[in-house]
Amino acid sequence: MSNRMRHQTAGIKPSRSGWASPAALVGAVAVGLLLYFCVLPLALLVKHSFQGGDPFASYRLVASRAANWSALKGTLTVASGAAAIAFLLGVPLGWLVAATDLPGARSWRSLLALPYVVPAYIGAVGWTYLLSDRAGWLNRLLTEGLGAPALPVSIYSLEGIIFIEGVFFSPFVLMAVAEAVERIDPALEEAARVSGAGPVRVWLDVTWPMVRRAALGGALLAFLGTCASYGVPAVLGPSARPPVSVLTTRIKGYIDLHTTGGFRQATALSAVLLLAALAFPLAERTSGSDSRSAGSRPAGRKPVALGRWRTAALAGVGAVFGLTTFLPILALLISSLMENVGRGFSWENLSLVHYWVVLRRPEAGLALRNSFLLAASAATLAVGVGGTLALMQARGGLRWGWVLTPLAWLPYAAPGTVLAIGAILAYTGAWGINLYGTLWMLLAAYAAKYLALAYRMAAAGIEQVHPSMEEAARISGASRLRSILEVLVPMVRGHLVAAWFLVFMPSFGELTMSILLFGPDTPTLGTMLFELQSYEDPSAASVLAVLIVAVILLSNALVRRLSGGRYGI
Amino acid sequence: MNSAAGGACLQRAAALFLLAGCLALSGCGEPKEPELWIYTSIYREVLDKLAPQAQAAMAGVKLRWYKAGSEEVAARITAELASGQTPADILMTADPFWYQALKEEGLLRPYRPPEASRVPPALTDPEGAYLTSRAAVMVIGYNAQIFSADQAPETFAELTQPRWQGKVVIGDPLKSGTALATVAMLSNKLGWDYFKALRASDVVVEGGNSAVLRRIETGDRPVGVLLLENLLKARENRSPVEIVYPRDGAVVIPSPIAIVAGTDQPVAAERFVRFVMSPEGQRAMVEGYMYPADPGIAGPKGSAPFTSLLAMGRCLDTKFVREMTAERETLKETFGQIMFE
Amino acid sequence: MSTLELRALGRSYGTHAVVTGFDQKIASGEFVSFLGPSGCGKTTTLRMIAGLDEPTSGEVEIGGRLVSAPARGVFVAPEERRLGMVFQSYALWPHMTVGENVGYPLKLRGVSRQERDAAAARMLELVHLGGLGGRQPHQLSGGQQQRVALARALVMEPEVLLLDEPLSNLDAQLREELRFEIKDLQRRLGVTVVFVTHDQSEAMAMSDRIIVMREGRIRQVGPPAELYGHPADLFVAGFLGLANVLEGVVESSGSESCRVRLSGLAGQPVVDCRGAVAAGTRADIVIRPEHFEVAPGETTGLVSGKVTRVTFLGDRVDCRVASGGAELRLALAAGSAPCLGDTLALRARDAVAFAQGPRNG
Repeated sequence: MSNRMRHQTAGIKPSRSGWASPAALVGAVAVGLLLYFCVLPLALLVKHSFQGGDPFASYRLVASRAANWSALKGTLTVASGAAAIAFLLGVPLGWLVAATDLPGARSWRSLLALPYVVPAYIGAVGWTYLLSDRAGWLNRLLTEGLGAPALPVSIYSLEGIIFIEGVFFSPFVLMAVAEAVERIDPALEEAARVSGAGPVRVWLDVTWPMVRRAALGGALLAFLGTCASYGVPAVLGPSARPPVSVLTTRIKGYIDLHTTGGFRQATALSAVLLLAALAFPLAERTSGSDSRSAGSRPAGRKPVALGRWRTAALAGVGAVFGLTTFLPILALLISSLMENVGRGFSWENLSLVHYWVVLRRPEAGLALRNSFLLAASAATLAVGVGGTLALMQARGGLRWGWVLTPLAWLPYAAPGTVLAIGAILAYTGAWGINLYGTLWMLLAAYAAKYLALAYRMAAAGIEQVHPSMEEAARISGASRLRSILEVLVPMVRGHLVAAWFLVFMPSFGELTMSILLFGPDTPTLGTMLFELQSYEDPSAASVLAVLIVAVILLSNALVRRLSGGRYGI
Repeated sequence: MNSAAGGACLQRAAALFLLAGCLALSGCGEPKEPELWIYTSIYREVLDKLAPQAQAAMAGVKLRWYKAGSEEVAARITAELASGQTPADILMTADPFWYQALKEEGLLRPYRPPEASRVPPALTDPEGAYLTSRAAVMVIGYNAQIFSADQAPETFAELTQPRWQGKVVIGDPLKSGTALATVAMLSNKLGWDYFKALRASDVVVEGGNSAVLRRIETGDRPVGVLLLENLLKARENRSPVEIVYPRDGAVVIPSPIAIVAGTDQPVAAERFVRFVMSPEGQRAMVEGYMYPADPGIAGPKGSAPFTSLLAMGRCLDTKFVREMTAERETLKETFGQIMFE
Repeated sequence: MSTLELRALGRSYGTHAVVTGFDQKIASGEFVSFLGPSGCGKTTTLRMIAGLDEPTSGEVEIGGRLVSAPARGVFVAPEERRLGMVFQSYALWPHMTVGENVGYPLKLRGVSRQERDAAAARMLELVHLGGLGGRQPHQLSGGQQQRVALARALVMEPEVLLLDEPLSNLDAQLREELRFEIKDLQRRLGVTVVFVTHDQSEAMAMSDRIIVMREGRIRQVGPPAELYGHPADLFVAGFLGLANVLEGVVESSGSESCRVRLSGLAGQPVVDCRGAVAAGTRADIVIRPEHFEVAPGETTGLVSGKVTRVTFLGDRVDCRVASGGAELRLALAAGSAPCLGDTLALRARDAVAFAQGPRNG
């Protein structure tokens, strides 16, 4: 009884779940990080674009240039094309690996995510070995070897850029579709079969409506990612016939004027891409029906039997993989083993000299270590912050969530150069902290750039967990934070690991931002690659590209091995 | 035990978010020894040789290097200046126009060391805001597996001829400072019609010099306009490329060195400039297959004498740079219109 | 175990009130059901007791300890309320075994692994799942999962057990079986239970008292029999058990009864009703199906109609009778089953009249 009395007095003393609770603190920190690392740099840039006598002068100037309008058209063409390719590759492949008895489906799923492992600009270089106008190995094989009429396919073309970007982003669609397919209750499809629908009909009427949102979301992500990408159009665009110009290359052109005016025009032009970022969550929300399910993934889903199509499907998947992914990586590997690419295929030209050149560099080990640490920390940070934001959004802890989450998309849509300049403006002491020349600067930039990917993946996971799972833990005696860490997090672990990789992989070989932000003691693989590309033999750059791919593949394999194949890409 | 496990969980989460706090701390609290920040685009080989020598010659000052392409250095400086200040004390990159622009904005601190007297006057800013530390040279390279020496082009001007139709690659002035310098010079001497003719003969515009080199090496475009240093290095690596010094004048592009006006280490900065201009510093430039600004120091192995190149009259001397600096935007715009529209 | 007191409890989202003025005291060891259609606020009220939802007004007291009182700035987090709760979806954690699920509340309280395992095994035994502690939740059937959830809710001997529609996802037979198991456990453990359901038969079978809710307000509180026999209003009458709702004009009125002429039925029959409704006004009449009886031979003053459907239910017969424009539902003894198409004269043994107020909903 006295015990009860004690509780009563304790009860009257406020024990609120307000700001002071650890969970709320974590939430506040996440929102703070979002504002400080994603919004501040870009806000400073946008503010910059309005400076000068007439606040809209830069915008008027930018709008008056026909070249900017054609660049906008270029961006829209390339991005829609890439989104379409990602969609057309990702939907059937995602379904095949997740829903059918395709031989080796699980392995294919990892392999088909490979394009995302290879940084797109490196992939582009690989493709130039294969499909440059006249000297491309494939082109020469077609014309000289097989005596085909002189009809070489050139990767230096609008189609080439679209193809590479589309393939690069196709894993977004594939992963989303595969995941959505697995969540479908097989009873729904069986019900349709029983109702008299053939397999195709079932796919169109039942399966497709349930994966549509995931597929379109992935395609939108590809669209936005392509809008912001610089490497591929920069490598291939100018030599294309007719030349392809996009917003990011225009923006870089303005920045390279190194004048105040040029800088303002660059930011004004970037604002267009930032607007696209803000529109993204809206576009995604309206892109289809919600396939939310209350429980965990249904057990006992039987793979769709492909029957006589099984071999054909296997051949198709293999061909797609070979043509889109294996070939360019192979090309990079081969070129890395050539003493000089100009001397072509011969024993005499086979050499490990470039591996030697790259690996003996004093900064090689440091760069590898830095990049690994940075990418791993950025991935962890992005998953932590993105996961927290997603959680607050999903569980209603975030009243202004509808304002905050679109902000997370800003850095993703901003070209890397623009984001890096924003980071310099924001973190060199004028706004509280000075990260200059340290690894933290790079960490902040990587985590901010790819936060949206982590956020989105985490949100997809949390969406599948009914709030009663955490509530049951609360009732059992767990604090809010503990219910999240011990119940929610283990339940969405697969999504979090995937989110981690989505950030880790592009951060590991990141080039555009790194080259502006690295300090004297903080070389990364990206900055090293830049150096190799700009002066060393191109084969040396291939070496580093091969190493980047190898490290990422090994990490993925390691995670999959350690988790018994459950986690990873 | 159980609460300990839970505590560990909490700690893990807390650690994640404490990262933010660490971020804030990392920027400060390092021991302060005078530092001299050098932003440069010189090549790794040069740096490997120059940095220890310079450090040895400058006891008491810690030399800090930020090494990136000329474009990146300039973008970084622009952003830093917009944020209020730059840590850079010394700039040493390849784009002479940028130094002229910085000078006009009063962002450079004039200094003319005695060693500068050995540099040709045409390569020295009269006010001493910047001076040339080395020079890059734009020449023609070709794939020797495809053309023999007597088939190779001899001048820039002839690249518009029908026999080079679809065989030529040039650098992109929108991406590369040396390509911009070359376009400035050639459009000045040969007129924009030259570039219109190049476009008509299906010239390919590639990003930087190494990309141009790769096109030549693979035979995709067996003839190209690129820097001598790329060709010299490639030849050393047994690449099948050969060099033509065009008879109508290889373009000499001086790479300046300058002291940033806001430096807090003016004395150390001047010492560093003197070191770079000293015979020891100048000799290091050759490691990057570039010409030292001091014609008294031998150029890179296997190259034509610097004075003979200067005599051809296609050098971006300070007068030319002064005149063209304001025109850079128009140059890029016009080039873009001719080549990309 | 523990009493539960809700004082003028209210929850609103902006201007929309979900629960208003919920005032009720639940005795220690009592089994109380919140019954009502979906959206009536019963689950919200339960969640406010649990601390999963914060009230906007009023107070919640568990075992004499004030746990929610927005006006006084008091809010005790759910984990500090020492409750047990079973969710409609069971909310078993898929990344833990059955045993770990049940032992988790103890783990949070720092109980050693051995003790935890022993307690979990004991609880599983109690819910007839002995030996299944090592299974994964998805390997169990729905009913078994439900029992695990129950074991988890009871493992730390809570003061109050909250059940949120725990049986609605089960099939009929299992539902009935579990009803009695839950009731039995409650009696043995003496725990106070709040049970939320929209199923009146569940509520009637298990509860000491039922609180009928509608649109966020309590409509009536009482033991099942009282609510069934003496509904406070037409809504309660209609929600608990089957009811024929008819309309009529009060001919004469006593202190606790009245005589009503039913309109809309063939023959304008007159019935005696409980409930005082003023003479001359219109009234709603509720007649339970089992309160009709067939009056052979007579016709005057009685309800007459034609049998349109007969369903044999074993112990009784469910009949539909069309009379005038209305259809009546009858529960007749199995022996007296009429034939389809028969014309019956019916007498109401019991009827309740309610004054027709301004209609709401």
